Amino acid sequence: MLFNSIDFAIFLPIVFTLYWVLRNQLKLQNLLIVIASYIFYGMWDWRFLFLILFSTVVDYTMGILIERNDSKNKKKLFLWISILVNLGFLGYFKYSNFFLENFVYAFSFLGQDLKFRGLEIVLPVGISFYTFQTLSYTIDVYRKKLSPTKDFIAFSAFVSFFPQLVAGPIERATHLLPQFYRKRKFDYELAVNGMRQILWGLFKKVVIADNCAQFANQIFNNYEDYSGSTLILGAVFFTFQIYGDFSGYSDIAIGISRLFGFDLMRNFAYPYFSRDIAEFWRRWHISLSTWFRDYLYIPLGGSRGGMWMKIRNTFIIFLVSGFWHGANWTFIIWGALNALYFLPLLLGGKNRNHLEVVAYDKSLPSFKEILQIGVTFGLTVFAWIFFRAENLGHAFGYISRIFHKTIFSVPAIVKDCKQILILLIFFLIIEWLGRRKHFALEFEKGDHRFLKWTLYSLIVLLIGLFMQTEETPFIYFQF
Amino acid sequence: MKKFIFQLFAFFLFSSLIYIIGVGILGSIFPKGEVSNIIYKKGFNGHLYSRINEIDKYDEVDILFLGSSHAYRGFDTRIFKAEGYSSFNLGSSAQTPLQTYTLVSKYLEDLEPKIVIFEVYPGTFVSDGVESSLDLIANDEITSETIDMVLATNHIKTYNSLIVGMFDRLFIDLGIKEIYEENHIKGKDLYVSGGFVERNNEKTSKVVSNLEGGDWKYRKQNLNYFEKILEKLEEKGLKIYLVFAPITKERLSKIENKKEIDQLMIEYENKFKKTKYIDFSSLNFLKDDQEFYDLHHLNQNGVIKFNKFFIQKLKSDLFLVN
Repeated sequence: MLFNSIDFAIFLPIVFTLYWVLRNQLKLQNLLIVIASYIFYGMWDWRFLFLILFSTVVDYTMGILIERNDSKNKKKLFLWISILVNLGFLGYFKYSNFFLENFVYAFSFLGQDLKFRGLEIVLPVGISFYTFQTLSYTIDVYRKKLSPTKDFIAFSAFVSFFPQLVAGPIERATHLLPQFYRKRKFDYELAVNGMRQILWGLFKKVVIADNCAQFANQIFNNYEDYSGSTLILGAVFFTFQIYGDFSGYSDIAIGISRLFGFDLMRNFAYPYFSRDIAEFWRRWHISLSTWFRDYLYIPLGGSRGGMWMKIRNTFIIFLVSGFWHGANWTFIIWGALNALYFLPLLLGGKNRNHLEVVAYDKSLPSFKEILQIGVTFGLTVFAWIFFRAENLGHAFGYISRIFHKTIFSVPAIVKDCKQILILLIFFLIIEWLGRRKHFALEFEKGDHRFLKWTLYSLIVLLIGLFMQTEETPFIYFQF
Repeated sequence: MKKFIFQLFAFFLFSSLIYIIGVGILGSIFPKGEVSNIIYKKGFNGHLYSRINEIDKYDEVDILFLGSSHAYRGFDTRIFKAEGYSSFNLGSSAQTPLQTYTLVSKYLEDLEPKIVIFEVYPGTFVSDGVESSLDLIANDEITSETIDMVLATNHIKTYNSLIVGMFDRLFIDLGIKEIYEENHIKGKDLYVSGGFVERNNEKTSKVVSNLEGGDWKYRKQNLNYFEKILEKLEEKGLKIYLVFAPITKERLSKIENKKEIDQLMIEYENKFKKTKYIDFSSLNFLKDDQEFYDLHHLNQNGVIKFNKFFIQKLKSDLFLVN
């Protein structure tokens, strides 16, 4: 079920109403979340519900066994069972074909011509997200940061919570699981802010991302027909497409959770206003970056060791992050490129220069900040070319055509994309004005209601006027 | 919770008002797709505006033609008149059964036909009906049937277009806008009184290589409305001919499930006793490069040949059902 579908528009009010009818019965509320989440997921492919259920049972059991056993070795064994089961599923469904293809390719270099057709494996939607979420549970239980739960329903609800099940934010058990134990009270302000965030997320997805996608797809799929300047524009469109798509999903997920009295972690913090790549990575897909930081980077030694250790760990985390996105060399190169962008800042001790949002106490950025934002944005756009490309040949073909004399020509499709360019300006203005808040439409209680409602209505109007009419899945579902 | 629901409802009303006013005004300024989801074209390709405006002049016609462009470009009412049949052509661009049902509900009583020729080109059963709904909203009266059609189409463009249409009529009533008058000659097309649109004898270009073949999957909604139309027409005791109008052999060859489509129509023929399916999709005397101006529309030469053949058949009563 897609958030931007009629099915979901019917599903959500029904679940919301039932949920608050059961407001004094915590267990029933949690059970309702589990049932609703399984229906939500089952609408894609009910077969993979067994996978979620299996992960849930395994991690629930391992959590209890880790706590019950005093032997360190046994604790470690149970942790490894959890890791192997979760990563095993992920590896099988997501990476089998990649490894087999590359194995065959490697053999072809040795003169062995192996025949390989590829396995017909369907990737379960959201598997990368919920496996990481459940892993955080067993790891935190092992690290004694969290007591294992004895409430199977609450744990099932934590694993399958429908707003963030298929594309995050990837929650930490320490943050989300305790919320399932507490009695939820309907909070008017929280719910209103949730509705605002849903509206803004929807605008990002159906207006910004889907309209940018039209042009990005056209240009990327036919890059040989376009000038260098048009290819740059195509990459810029993809840059906004992926941001609108993914941060839009996160906004809707967080907003829906608020309607149910839950607080999910922030996933995006205006990344395209970043002044350097380190700041960008603190603001982009925060739940994944911090997951890798806490469960991979820091255990590897983080940035505490010498220069070589820093370089090694930085590359590991960025390459793994790239590989997490998909079983394709393009994602690995995308990760490596970001590592290369990031390393000079880390080695020069400048990776924490910009902790506050740009122009925090000013209305406009300085010339220097504009330049920094421009350079960071340019580097990001360049890296996204690898992320969007079908394969490395496509990516390098695309890039080589950019650096052609036609780079200075007027992009061929400028006339056709006036609408989306105007919408992007509107979008950036609202994001800029809201950059000090958790999301752009967040308002304090007591602000002018008429003005706020007029702004929301204008966004509703823009959605109605410019939304793409085909239901398009969110990009991150494929990860 | 009560406050939340009340505020949500109040916001819903407020934003609906802003939405309606916004779409109405923007649609009046930019009606032709400058804003993605507003398309309100008076005097669309198919001359529906002119057709609807002269319905009042016709009653008790012998034949009523229904269907898509293959109907209003394929059946020349002048030729039928010359052979002694009064007729009216109520075809419109990309008309799917949903729009046919809407038009039949509105105008069947006025036209009181004896026979209905219902053109059943497969494309109209495959279509989502948005294009045709937009045509009807802009060029036909807006009535409760129109609103039913918009709800059944359930597409943001048709909802927006309906709002623009209501504003358009309001502006005309207030004297802010002038009443639209459609030119009977548009490009190569000539509107002929009675609903036919004549295209000159331009011949088809042979740009056909990019046409893809495949199965034409009929939409359930279109079939539901198709059945409703047949029920309605049979209730009135009318004879109904379901006609697959001529198309080029090239186009026909790309409809890979033609047999399945024919079988479906035969099932309707069996179900509705006054209904007969006739397949004219491939008539040997109509040559792709002589009698068509594109891959699936006859030019005037083709129309004359086809209509004469059709009338002959009609007169010999070959299809009449007992």
